[in-house]
Amino acid sequence: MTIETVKIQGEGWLVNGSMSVPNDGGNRDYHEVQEWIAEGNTPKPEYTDAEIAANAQQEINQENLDYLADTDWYVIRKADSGEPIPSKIKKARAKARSTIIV
Amino acid sequence: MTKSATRETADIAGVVGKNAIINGNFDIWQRGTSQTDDGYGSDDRWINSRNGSTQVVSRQAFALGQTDVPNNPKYYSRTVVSSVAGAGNLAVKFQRIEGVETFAGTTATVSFWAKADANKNIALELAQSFGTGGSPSAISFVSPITVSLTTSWVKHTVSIAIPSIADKVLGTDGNDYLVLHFWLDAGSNWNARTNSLGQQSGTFEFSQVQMEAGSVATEFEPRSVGEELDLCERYYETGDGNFWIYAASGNTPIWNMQFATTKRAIPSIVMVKGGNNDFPNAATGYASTSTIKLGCGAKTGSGAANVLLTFKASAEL
Repeated sequence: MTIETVKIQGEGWLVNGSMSVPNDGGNRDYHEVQEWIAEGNTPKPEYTDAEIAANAQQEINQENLDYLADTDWYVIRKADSGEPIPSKIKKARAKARSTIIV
Repeated sequence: MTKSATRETADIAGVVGKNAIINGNFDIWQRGTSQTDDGYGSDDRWINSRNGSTQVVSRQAFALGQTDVPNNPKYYSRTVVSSVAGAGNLAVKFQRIEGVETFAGTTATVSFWAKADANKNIALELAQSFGTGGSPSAISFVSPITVSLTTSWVKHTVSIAIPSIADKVLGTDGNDYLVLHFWLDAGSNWNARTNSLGQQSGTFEFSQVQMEAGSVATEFEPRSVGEELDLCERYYETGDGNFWIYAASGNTPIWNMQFATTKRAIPSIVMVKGGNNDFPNAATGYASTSTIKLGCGAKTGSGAANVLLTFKASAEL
C-alpha cells in the first residue's frame, strides 16, 4: 500500500481517504501507518463537523450531476426533434438542479 | 483481543487438516483474478511482492479432465515476471502462516506442482517472524533451497528442518508467523536468501502447494471451496450490506453487521458506497474482529431510505 494521506479517525486513521485503519498492533496496515509517521509525516486532524457536512454536500452534488448527465439526452432529443421531455424527467431534473449547492 | 482467543476460532472450525498452507489449491481469489501491484491483490493469502521488476499474477484455469496435475484442480496461479536489473529488485511469491510455532523444532515438507516457460530455477526459503510489540526476537531465516522447474508440470518436494523457537521471545501484537517464499527473480542484495538465484524474466506457474509435518510429502489434500473460503476469510473478507432505514432528517444512524468469519485481528476496512440515497458519507467503517460498524452522515430526507454498501475487511499478516 502506498500511503498518500492519513487523517485521524477516532482512535485510528483514515488512510488515502478510504481505508479505516485501527490503532491495533496486530493489524498489518497499522504498521505501515507507523512507518509513514516515523518517516516524519504527520496525520491530519480528524474531520470536523463542517468538513463532514461539506463532503456530504459534495457527494450529493455529484449524485445529482450524474443524474443530469444521464438524462441530458432527453434535452438533446427535444432540441433535435421537438419530442417533449417526459414530465417525470423534467421534474426530477429540476429537483436535481435545486439540490446542487456550490 | 488475545492471540489464544483468535487461534481457538481456527481450531474450532476444524478445517485446517494437514496442510498449513491456505488456498494452496488456488480456488479463492476474492480481490480479483489478476494483479500487477506489490502485495496482496489476487490469490487469497498469497503476497505477490515485487520491487523494480514488474509482474502480472493471474488465475489460470486447467483444461477440464487434464491429468498433468492430479485431483482435478480447477485453477492454478501464474506469475509473469519482467525482470529489471537492480541489486535490490525482486519478484517473490509468499505466504505467511499464522503462528511462529508452526512446525517449530520439527521437520516439515513442502510439496507443490510447478512449471515455467523454460528450464528455470527458483528459490524456496522459509523464515520465522516473532511479530511486533514489546521486544520480540529478530526474524530467523532458514537456508534457502534451489528448485529446478521445467516446462512440464512436475511435483516438487522439499523437506526442511524448522528451527526450534525455545529461548525466543514473542511479540505482544499476536502477528508472529512462519513464512514460505518462492523467489522468482532476485537482485544481488538477496543472494544470501536465495542461493544466489539471480535475476530472470519468465512465466512461473504453481498448483497444489502443501506444507505438512514430517519428512514425507503425502498426496495433496484438497478442501472444499467453502472450507477454503472460511479459512481465507479469517484474513480477508468482502461483503455487502443492504439496509432499509427509517430515520428523520438529520439523524446519523449507525448499525452493525456480523462478519462471516471472525478475523485474526481487528481489520482495516475499506467502504464503498453504493445504491441510492439520502445517506451521505456512508463510508466510515470501524470494526472489531467479529463485527463491522457502519455509520452515515446526516440523513438528508425523511422516511425510509435504502443503503447499499460494499466493504472490504483485511486482517492479513
